Amino acid sequence: MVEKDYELLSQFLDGELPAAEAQALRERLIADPRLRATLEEMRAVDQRVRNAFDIPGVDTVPETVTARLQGAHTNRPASGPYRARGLAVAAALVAAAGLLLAPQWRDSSGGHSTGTPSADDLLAQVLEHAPSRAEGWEGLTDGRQVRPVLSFASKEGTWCREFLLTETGATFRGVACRSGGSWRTEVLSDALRPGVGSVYRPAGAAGAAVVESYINAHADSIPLGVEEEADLINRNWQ
Amino acid sequence: MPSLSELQREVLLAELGGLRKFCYSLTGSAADADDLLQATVERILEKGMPEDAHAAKWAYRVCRNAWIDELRSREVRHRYPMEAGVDDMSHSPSAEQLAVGERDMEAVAAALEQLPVDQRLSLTLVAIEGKTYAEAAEILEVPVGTIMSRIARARKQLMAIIGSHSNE
Repeated sequence: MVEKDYELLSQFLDGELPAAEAQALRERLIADPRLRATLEEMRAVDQRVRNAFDIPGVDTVPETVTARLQGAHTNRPASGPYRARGLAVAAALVAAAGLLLAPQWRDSSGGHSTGTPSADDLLAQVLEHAPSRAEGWEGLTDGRQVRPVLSFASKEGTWCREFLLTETGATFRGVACRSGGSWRTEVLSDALRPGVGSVYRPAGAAGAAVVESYINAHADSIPLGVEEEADLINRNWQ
Repeated sequence: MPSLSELQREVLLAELGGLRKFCYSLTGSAADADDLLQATVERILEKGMPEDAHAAKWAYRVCRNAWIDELRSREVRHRYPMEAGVDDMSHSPSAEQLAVGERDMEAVAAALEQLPVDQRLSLTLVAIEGKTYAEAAEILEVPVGTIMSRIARARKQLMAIIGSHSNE
C-alpha cells in the first residue's frame, strides 16, 4: 500500500472521488483483496468513530447558550473556564499599568549599558537562559524572583515567553517577546502566586486572563516542547 | 459594537445543535463541549461577523479557533500541573465504572487525541459532522486537496491505533 492508495480509499469512502477514478478504484478493489481489506478496515474505523460520538443528547444545546444568542445584549454568565475570559477587559487595565513596570528589557550581551546590570537586564538574562519550569524560582540579585512558564512562537515571527515575577510580595504574570536581541514585555498583569493562599483560583482567572488572551491572540501554535525550548536556548534563540 | 444580522442569528440558532456535536467530538466531554460552545457563541457576539459571512461556516471557524486556544491551555496545564492546582484524574471514573460503549468512546477519543490538530479537525468535520471536503476546506481555510490528504493520513493513523490489525 502506498500513500496514494490511502488517499484514494479515503476519498472513495467520503464520496469525494470523481466518477472515473471511483470506477477505476472499484475495478482494483475487485482484483486486489489486500486493497479491499484495507478499505473495509478504514470503513469500520470510520463507523466506530461516528458511533462513539453519535450518542443521545450530543446535539443538546444548554439553554443558557441559546438564551445568550437570542438576547445578545443580556449580561454574560459569570463562571466556567471560558467565561473567565470575560475578565480580560478589566484585566487589560492592569496590563497597561504593568507595561510601565518593565517597559524594555535589553539583552545583556547586546545592550549598551555599562557597569551594574539594571533590573530589566536581570530579568532579560533569565528569559534568555533559563528553561521553563513548573516549580521553583530564579532568584535575581535585586531580590526579585522569576519563573519562566512556557515559550511559544508568535504570529509576528518572534519567540515569546510567559513568566511569573515576584517583587516585594506582589506577583505578576507576563509575556515578553524577543526582537532584535532584546526581550520586550508585551503584557504584564497581577497574578496570584502559585501555591499561595488556601483558595484555588483557576488558570485564566482575574489578572491571568489578560495574559491568556494575549497568548491566544499572538501564539502561532501550541507552546514549545521541552526539547525544542532547550535547543533554542542553546542557540541563543536564533 | 459588533452585531449579527437577524438572518445570521437565525442561522446560528439553527446550527447550534450541530456545533454542540462538533464541540463534543473535539473535546470528548459533555462539560467541555458546553464550555467550548459557550466560548464560541461569546466570541461571535463579541466580535460579530462580516455582513456577507455564512453564519454557520463562520461559527465552525470560530469554534475551531476557540478549541485550538483551549488546547494551548491544556498543554500548559499538562506540562505544569502544580500551576493549575487541579488533579483532573481524581475526577475521572475508573475503567471498571465505564460501560462498554463509554469505554469505546474513550478509546476512540484517546486515538483522536493522538492525531495532529489539523488532521483531527479535518476528520471531525467530514467523518463525524458530514461536511463535504469543500465545506471543511472553507471552514479551515485551506485548499480542498489539503483536507483530502489530512483525512487520509488521519484514517491511516487511526487504523494503526484502533483498527483490527493494531496491536492493542
